[in-house]
Amino acid sequence: MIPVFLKTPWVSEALKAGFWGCFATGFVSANALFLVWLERKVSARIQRRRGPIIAGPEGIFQTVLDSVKLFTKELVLPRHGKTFLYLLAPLLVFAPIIVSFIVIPAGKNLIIRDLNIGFLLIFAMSSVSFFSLFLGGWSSHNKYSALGGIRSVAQNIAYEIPLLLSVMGVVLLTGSLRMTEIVSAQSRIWFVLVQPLAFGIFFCAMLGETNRAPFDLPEAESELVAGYLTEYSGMRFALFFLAEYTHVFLGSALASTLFLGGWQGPLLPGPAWFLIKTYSVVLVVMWVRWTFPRLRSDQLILFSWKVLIPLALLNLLVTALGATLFLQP
Amino acid sequence: MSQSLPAYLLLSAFLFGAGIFGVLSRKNIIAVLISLELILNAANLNFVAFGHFTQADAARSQIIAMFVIATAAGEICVALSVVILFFRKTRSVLIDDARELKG
Amino acid sequence: MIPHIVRETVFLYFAALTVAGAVLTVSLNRVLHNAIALAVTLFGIAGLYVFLGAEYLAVIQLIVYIGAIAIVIVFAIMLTDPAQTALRSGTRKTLASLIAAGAWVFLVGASVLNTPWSRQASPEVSVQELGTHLLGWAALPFEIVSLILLVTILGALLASGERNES
Repeated sequence: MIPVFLKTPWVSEALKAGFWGCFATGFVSANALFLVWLERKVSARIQRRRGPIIAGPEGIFQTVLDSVKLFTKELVLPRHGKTFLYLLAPLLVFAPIIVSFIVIPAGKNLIIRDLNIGFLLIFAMSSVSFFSLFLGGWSSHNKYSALGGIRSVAQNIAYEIPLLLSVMGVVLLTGSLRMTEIVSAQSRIWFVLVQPLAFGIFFCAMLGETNRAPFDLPEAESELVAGYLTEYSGMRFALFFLAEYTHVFLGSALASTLFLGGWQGPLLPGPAWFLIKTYSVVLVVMWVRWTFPRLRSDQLILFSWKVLIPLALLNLLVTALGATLFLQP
Repeated sequence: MSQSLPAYLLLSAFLFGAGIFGVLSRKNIIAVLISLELILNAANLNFVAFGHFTQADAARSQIIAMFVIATAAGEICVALSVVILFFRKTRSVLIDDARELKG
Repeated sequence: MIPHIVRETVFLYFAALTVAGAVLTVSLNRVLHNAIALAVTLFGIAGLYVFLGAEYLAVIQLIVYIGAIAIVIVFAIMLTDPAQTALRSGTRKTLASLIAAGAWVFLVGASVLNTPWSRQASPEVSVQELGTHLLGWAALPFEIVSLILLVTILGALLASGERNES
């Protein structure tokens, strides 16, 4: 834990909470800006062009300028919109995702709270976030937003199940839900080598959960106007996008912690390896987006129910058999 | 106050009362089901509070609460599918219109 | 470790969220608003579970109740005429049910406040303990609940698929 410099618990707890809150929020925001730029560069390179090159070296400041533009955009409110929910929805979508960073281990003792329930907090916060997503879509009082919201929620609840089931294999091998114990259980061999099928299912389910291509029909640019985001402009739109990129980062951090060994690595310090692994997964997510075509709404839900869930159950069965036969109780 | 049992018991009693008021005085079937969920949650809160603050085994009470959650999930599924079928037949979700047992 | 006043403030926040959500659930006019208020109430209760040493139950409440049951309720509302109102039953019946509910709260509240409770508190229950119990004495109810859920899924599928057969 962080060394406590002050004697009174009240002040030290307040300072710790304040520091970690500011750090998490600041890191999340900076990270989202970085990811937007990275996405544009990666998509450009895959499409054989160069992406933003004007604002700063290799267009690094492009996102900053875009944020400034978004800040100054006129905030358009729909005429019949349910105003209270409409205003609250972007915050309710974004807040749970930041809360999920409490349980991500970034280094040897760098976890904000090592909860007994560990990563289940992340799934709980995702559920709250999806409900607010539907709220945002419905409270815009627009047919297309409501439809987009419902489709998005249906997709999310469909992909939540294989996500949970694939992680259960890891939990069976570790015997605990705590993140630090899962990371230290990978000190000899990474779980991606022991549970390759689970990693594949987790990756697909994570793509489905974060509404990323090829599962991004609810927010696709050419479908349903813009899905549940249609009536949001300016800073609120930016909040939704920030929430999505942060969710992608969260999913990648979870994948690297649960399957790729977290912060463990030979030479560099813990946080450096954590960032390297997480950003590798993020790069693969972006790569997948610009490589595969989009799945239709019913296709993607059927993919979850008919393909991912049986595979995840099979994986759980084989893992349980293996753990019972080969591991000591 | 967060360390005393009466606070949680009063809260769960209030939730239960609100649920009863909702069940008794609403005409929409789905509103009645929503109030029913409030009643189930009040019972759950009671279980967990007693498990935490008395000699009762806390793990046991939490497992009972988990089973209540699981059963409530199943029950709301069945109830809502019946509601949707009923709506398809009669285009209404008011309990006053559910007068016939046949069909 | 956490200072007392912070604990009390957060407890009051979750308790207020629960109470406000319950009041809104039974008093708002449109059913969709009731469903959203129910989700708020469930979130408040999940926070209260953490105070009662039931962390795992709190996240299960969030995942299952808010992430599944509340969403299913909202879907059902969407499928059966989303613009519906909840239609309270008329003044006499509302008053009668208010008196009934109020009598219940008063009775329970009075008996709770007049009982001398001891102030012991059990420690937090860990997930391992719950797992041991689930595979121990709770194995039979666990299997029965799984059977119930299976029957529920099949029933809902059959019931909703009936239209295609005719």
